[in-house]
Amino acid sequence: MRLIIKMAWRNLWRNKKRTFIALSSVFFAAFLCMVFGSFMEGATDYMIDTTIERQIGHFQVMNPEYKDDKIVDNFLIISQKQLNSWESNPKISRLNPRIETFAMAWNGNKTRPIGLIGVDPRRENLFSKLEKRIRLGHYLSQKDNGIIIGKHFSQSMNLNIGDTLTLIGQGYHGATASGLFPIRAIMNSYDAQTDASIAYTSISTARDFIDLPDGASYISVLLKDEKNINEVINELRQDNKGNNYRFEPWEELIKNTMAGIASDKKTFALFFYILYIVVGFGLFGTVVMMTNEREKEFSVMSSLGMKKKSLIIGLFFELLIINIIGLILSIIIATPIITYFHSNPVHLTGQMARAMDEYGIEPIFPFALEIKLFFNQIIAITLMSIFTIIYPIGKLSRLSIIDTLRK
Amino acid sequence: MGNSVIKINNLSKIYKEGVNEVHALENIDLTINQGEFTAIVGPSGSGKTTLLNMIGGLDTPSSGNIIVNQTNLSSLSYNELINFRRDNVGFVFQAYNLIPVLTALENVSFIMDLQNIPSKISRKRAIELLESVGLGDRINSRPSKLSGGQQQRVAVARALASKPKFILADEPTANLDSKSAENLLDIMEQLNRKENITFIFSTHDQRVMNKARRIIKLEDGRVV
Repeated sequence: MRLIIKMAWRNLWRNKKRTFIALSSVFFAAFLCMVFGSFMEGATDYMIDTTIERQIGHFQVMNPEYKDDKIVDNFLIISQKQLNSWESNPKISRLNPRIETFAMAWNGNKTRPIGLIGVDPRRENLFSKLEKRIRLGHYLSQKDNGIIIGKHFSQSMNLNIGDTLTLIGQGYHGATASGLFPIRAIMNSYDAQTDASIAYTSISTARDFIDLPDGASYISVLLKDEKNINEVINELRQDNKGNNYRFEPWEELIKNTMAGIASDKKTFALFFYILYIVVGFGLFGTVVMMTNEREKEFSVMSSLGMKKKSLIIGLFFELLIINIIGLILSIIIATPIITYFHSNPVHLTGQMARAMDEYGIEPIFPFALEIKLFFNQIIAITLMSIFTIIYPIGKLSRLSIIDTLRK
Repeated sequence: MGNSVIKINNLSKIYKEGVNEVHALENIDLTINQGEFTAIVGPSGSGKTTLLNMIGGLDTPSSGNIIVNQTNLSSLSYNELINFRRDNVGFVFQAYNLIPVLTALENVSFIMDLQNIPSKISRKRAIELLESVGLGDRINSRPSKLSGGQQQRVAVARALASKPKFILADEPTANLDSKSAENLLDIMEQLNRKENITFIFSTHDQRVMNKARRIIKLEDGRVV
């Protein structure tokens, strides 16, 4: 085996230019896949993490019927005492009950449908940093009977701070819901549609509006450590055996987002596959040349007593050495770049950055530093080597010593 | 006469070229004994190289047998033939055919490495062999740094490395100048006389014929 490895190493340097080209193609493919892979993983992980932290929590507790039919009658009933006891669980970081319902907004001769979100102002601010989005006016107090509306909504309804908005909707068990809501603040929303269709009030006011004391659409629960999700869900399930609660983990809550991320990842994977194919053909070309150039040498070595298996192993070692050098170089160069952008994330600018900032999300894209990114390249490029070795296997299996020596 | 190393019975080889059949060898009967210094001569296309390839197990006969030390080559599988060549045959090619990435020493050790002989022993023997062909000072030179004559001497040392039953040399002097050719022939003759190694040449070269103690003439694939 030492002889085969020695010959493979020396054969590589017989045609330095070719080796350099093959090595470069492995290096650039692995490098680009590592860096772009890290960016993509980092960006998606960050988006998921912030969505969990700022919006949905690690899981939500709701009435089982609510998931498929989001009406007031399917709201959850939960006492403040119970909420406080959950909040005292050492594994829970914070929780946030919300009410989400729809109403018809009316001001003078203008009407518009609106989604009314009832929040616990303190808890909501810990979650979504709602206060940061306020452009005019002031944030809700704990039992505030006022409302926060979007800029577009305020313009279309001719509303300003201090005006009163009338809402009419449906309350619990068919009751009519109606109320007068003084405008406390006007907020900015990145998405104009959201801005024009969402309003916030305190959860106590929302409960009065729908006539459902202790009601909530759902409660978002954020854990101190995501690893404990199943354990905490089981604990809460045990403690609330009498109540018919549904515990919905975050993967289920953002199913569509996750599907979008999976689709984005597929697009990136396609880019990676194209790179691999380019490298694969580069390596294949190298192998074809290496094999055809040395046909006579193979015949001589075979006539001297070297088995074809050893000749193929020799060629495989040559490819393996190219891959190992290319991969090591790419890891050496990619690691500090990835580590740097992991610790010093890319700062977004422009509209996207402003939008993220409004939602309390730092406008950054950190790179992911995950061992799988490196491991995947090693596997992919080694598999390519195995694939390209098919050519010399075929060629050497048909090798005729006599014909080749005659040439 | 010594012990027979190679026994050839009724050997024929027919090549197909399109629809035509070419009779490269026809009904050859031969016996080569231990220690012979034999030249196979004949015009181009007479079947010299084909016969050498058959004896060396590089090519298979259309009919007939080649028996080397009681082993019928026709009965060996592809891998058994590779092992047979490694352990029994020393090849000296017209174009030297040294492995370009290996030094002279490594070229000579090559077959011993394939035989899994410990590197200390193979290195010692390779150095001795290179010294015996007058290349003790060029052991670390790659083939590209050696002259044609020196390369052919390395090829002879390589052929001897595995202590083969016989050495097959296909036109060994064809690419050499007369001085290098004389030198090479002297080395091979000495090895033959001192160590009783069997040499079989195919050649056109009169100098080789003059040194040979037995000459086999081929014409149109037949011994004449």
